[in-house]
Amino acid sequence: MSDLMILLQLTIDGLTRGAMYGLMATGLALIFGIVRVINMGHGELFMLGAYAMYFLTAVLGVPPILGILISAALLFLAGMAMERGLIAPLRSRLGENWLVDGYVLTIGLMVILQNLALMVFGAREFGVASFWPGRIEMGDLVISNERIVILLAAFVLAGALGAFLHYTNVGRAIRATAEHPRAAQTLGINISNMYTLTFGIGAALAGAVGAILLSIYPAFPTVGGEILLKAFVVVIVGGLGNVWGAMLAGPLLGLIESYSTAFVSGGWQNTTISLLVILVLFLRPQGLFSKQVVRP
Amino acid sequence: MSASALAVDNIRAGYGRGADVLKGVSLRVGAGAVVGLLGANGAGKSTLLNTICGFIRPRAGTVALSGKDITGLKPDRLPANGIGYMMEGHSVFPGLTVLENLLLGTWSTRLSRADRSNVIEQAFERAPILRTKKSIRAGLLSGGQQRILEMARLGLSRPSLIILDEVSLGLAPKLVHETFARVNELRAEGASVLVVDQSARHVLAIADYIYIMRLGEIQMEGPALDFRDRVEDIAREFI
Repeated sequence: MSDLMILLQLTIDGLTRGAMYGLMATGLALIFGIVRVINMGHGELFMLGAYAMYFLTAVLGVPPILGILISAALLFLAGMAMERGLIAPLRSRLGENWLVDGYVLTIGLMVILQNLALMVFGAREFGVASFWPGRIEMGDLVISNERIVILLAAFVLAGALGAFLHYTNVGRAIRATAEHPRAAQTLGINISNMYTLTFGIGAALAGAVGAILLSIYPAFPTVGGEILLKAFVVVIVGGLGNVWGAMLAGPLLGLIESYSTAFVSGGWQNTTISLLVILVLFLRPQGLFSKQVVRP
Repeated sequence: MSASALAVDNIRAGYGRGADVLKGVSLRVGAGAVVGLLGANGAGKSTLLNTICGFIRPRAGTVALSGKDITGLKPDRLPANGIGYMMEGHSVFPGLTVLENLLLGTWSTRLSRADRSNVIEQAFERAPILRTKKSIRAGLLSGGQQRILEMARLGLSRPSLIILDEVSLGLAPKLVHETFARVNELRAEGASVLVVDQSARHVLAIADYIYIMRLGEIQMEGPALDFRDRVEDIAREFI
């Protein structure tokens, strides 16, 4: 296998992995950018998506693509219910200080959801073999069909989210709410609904990623921990609350992980990534992809 | 005279558990009239507007729009009730393009796609600068251009009552003049206007009727003509 082929292989592996980090982080960034809550329970939404996917496909025999869509839809509803039931009351009650309370609330949510999962499903891992077995071989280069589907799914989901935010009335209203909630209100936008909807979308993304990655990360109560950590790194590198930054920083992180495993040695990838976070925080705390927006 | 465009009666309001900031305020904006509300910083002008526009719930009193009680209306119901509110400071969405800002001005209008393009086209004809900048993020516009965008966005929902909060603050005199010229156009199209400002001179120049607030109460009111020759006195005494 030539060096170029190895590099190509590592690139593809890194991009696939990174695409999913990016989608997780996009949901996190969306929720932070608009609802202003740092959602510590985001990994548990991933976990719920994974369980949903397992029961839909392995137990009920639903086809995988449909399974992903249903998992995302279920998490969309769950996310909206969480926002309306738990976060919205804090926002209306606590004025400026509610953000810290919101943050603590999501930590509580994380613990509760993990333990509920443990009670209901036990500590056992619910996994599946690949949904899309087989692979494509081009000379020395081997790409599993699964990776192709994962990359494709990432493009479709990121594209759909971008199109929604930029080319629909509701998408524009969500962005307006993030930038100037009071002005948005006076134009007739119901900002509470926008917050709820945004949380639902962020949760749906986490659920979709949990479902897509079921064959790689089987469902178990604390499966969301590692992926949440990765998503936070992506959010820091991409810029806090910056949705596009998260989409770009995800693949970047995946590549760094992939290359450092190969060129330094296995086990070093987490060190490299921590180093990246420290560098970014020192040199460019607003994130690599954040433009300084002119504020009035 | 038919019901006033806006009738505020005996409003009492304040923040949290604090004392009343508004101690029983009443005012009227007649249909098609331009009414000015003057007062120093801290007189309660902003609190009154926040109460009318639903950001604060009044402790007592009523707000009625063309005879219909709208006390405690939610702010996001303002445009549906025909109220266009231009808040103090800038209210464009800086990360959205000029066109996107305008599109959101039609949010509550339930216009068809074609009608929406039409009203935005009209806004572009009135303010051609917006057309040349339509794909630029609004945060990159100058302060004056942002104001032009805000006025254009305000007019899109065809409000019957326009409330302007401190629109002259921090603007060059020429732009203040242009802003008020636009207010006169909207009035000519049939809107009633409530202008709140610290600049007595600007308000007296366009208002028909004046209220002067002090310490949470209406201190004085009357036709603007009666005040015009006393601008300096009023400014010294109340503002």
